[in-house]
Amino acid sequence: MQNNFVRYAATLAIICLAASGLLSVVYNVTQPKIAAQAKMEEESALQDVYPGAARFEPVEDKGSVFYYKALNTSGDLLGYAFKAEKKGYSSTIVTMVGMDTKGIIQRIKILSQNETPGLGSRIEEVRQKETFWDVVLRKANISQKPRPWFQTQFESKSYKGLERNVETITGATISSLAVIVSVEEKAGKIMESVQDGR
Amino acid sequence: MKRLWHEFIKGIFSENPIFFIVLGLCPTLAVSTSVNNAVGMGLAATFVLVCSNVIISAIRRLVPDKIRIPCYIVVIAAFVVIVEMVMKAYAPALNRALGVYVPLIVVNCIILGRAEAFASKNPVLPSLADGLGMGLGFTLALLIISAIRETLGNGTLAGLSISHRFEPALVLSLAPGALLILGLLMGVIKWARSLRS
Amino acid sequence: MADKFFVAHAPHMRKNESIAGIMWRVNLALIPSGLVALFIFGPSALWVVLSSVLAAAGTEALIQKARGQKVTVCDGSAFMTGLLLAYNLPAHCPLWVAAVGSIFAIAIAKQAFGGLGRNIFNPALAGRAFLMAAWPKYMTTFTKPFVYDAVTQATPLSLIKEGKASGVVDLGLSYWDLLIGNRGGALGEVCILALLLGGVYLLYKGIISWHTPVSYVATVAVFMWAFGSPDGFGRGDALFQVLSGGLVLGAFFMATDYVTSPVTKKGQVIFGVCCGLLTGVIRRWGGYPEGVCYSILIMNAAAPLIDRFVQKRRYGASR
Repeated sequence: MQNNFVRYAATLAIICLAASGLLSVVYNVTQPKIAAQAKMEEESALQDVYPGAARFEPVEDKGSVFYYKALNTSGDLLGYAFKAEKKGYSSTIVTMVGMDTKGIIQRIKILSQNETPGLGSRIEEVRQKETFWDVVLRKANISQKPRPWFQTQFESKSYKGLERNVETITGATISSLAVIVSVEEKAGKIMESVQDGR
Repeated sequence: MKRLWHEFIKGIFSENPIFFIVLGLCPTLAVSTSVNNAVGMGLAATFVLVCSNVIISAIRRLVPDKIRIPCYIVVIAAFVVIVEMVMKAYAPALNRALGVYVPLIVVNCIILGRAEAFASKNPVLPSLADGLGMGLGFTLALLIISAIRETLGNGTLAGLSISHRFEPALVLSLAPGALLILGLLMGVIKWARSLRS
Repeated sequence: MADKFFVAHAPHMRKNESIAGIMWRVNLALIPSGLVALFIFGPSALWVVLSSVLAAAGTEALIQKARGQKVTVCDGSAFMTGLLLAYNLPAHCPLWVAAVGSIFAIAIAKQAFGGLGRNIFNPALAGRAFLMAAWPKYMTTFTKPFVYDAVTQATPLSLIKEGKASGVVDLGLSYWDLLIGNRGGALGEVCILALLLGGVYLLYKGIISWHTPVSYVATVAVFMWAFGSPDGFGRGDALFQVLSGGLVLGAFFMATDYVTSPVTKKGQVIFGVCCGLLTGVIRRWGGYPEGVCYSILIMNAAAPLIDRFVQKRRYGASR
């Protein structure tokens, strides 16, 4: 009995040891890559919503990033990039927004949402020109994915009055409004704090 | 050689883990929404299955019977974590799409099922063949289900739209649609088999 | 009114009543509501009904033929499924949506389970639930009554769910409007008067019993009176809740389906009350504005269990 107990413990310990040894090797190889990926994702989201900017500088408020300053190559302030979020129909919709100093929206990008498929999730719907058959039969190459039509509506509009100027999606009023209102509110807050600062 | 071939091919057809043994339905229902996800999931599970089968079969005489399950779980979990880390590093988009279902490969019944039913009783090479066959059978089943679900449920195939005039039936890209498609496919396969005999 | 047709456990007495006779009488009872829908929503309502009924009957015939069975399209049950499904659709939904819904209802919800008398779920409602999950865009776009060119208008219940109105007055409607069907909604559910006409006919003919419809409607009324308003207990508008949505259509024509509801009287009351509670909970706290379809489907699954529960025990025997 005593003997068996020791044998069980020893076997399990050896297997666990071998497994963790293997894992630590893989971890060491992949970790820098994973960290780089996470950083790249944030960067590319910022780049996406403010294509004209060369670099971004976080502005912090109470310990977390409030917004990013979008700067050009010589370090002049072009505008701001920020994350806006609000509860939609069935999830919190997080949107990355680029906006210039006058409050004109550059681009927006939905970062995460889990809305009803087919209704609310159409805030990310794209209308691609090429079909599967075109590509397979080599009639066309895959062009760059067009941007979601709902989100392109925001472009070059002032953050004020988005509610009037952006058309909501039929059957998905709540999700559409969540995006619109969240962008409007956060943009308003940023503009206020910027003006206070001057 | 003939035996190896037999162990390999049975997992794909006559003992397909999804259509015949009906194991591993949770990931099947969850990730078969698109062909890309299905292939990613299938290959990840195949990798874990082959590796765990080989290791478990190699240590089968060393592991006492009473603690075999925790031992198998440790082996399987180690390979799953490897898959997850590699995926995060080299295919972050796929990792995000598969979400929690990558770590959940640990509890995929196919993997523990094969460890118990096959690898713990057979030598290394047949276990490798069995793991590869079962894994590819799983991938194939996922591929068929996801191809149907993606075309009819989302109007796309491999992420490209099928036709601009087609209006997809969204229900098929949701879990109930997956059950529906799986059930109909199993019915069709049974019917086809009954025709042959 | 005495019960003319009493459903109970064995022993049974044979009567000169056929499936076809019952089915066609139910279909007849549904006609007034359809005629009114034609008047309210215009000719597109007729096309939706036609395509749904034709698809249902065609699918039934095709499957029975393929399985080498007797084709029983003439018994009117597929016709009824098509009709009920169409009554649950918006009047301007595309015709192919109606047809696909009918095909699903007959092929999957009815024939895959073995055909008439063997289905667990009400086929028409299963078809509607499928369409709701498959093409929500079409299933939630309702049109304005008495304007025949597809001007969209939300249903009273969905306006209240989205918080855009809080009561009948807010909606610009009167109870009379709700009674005659002057509101947005599915084509067969809007005119309560026409539905009641059909319902009373079925009760009079003894084809349905009062137990399910009355307990269902009463439960919804009491529940919504008690909890229906965010203002507090007992402030809800029971009459509005009963007259809007598909409650009357569901209570009289779908919760009373012979195959998918309990056969015992006690069971039918339990069935109606549970349907009512579920409908109330979905309307008040659920994600959808209307819960009639889902509550009946959920209770369909429980129907055999209810019957078992209320079964008369043999005297002296323990369970």
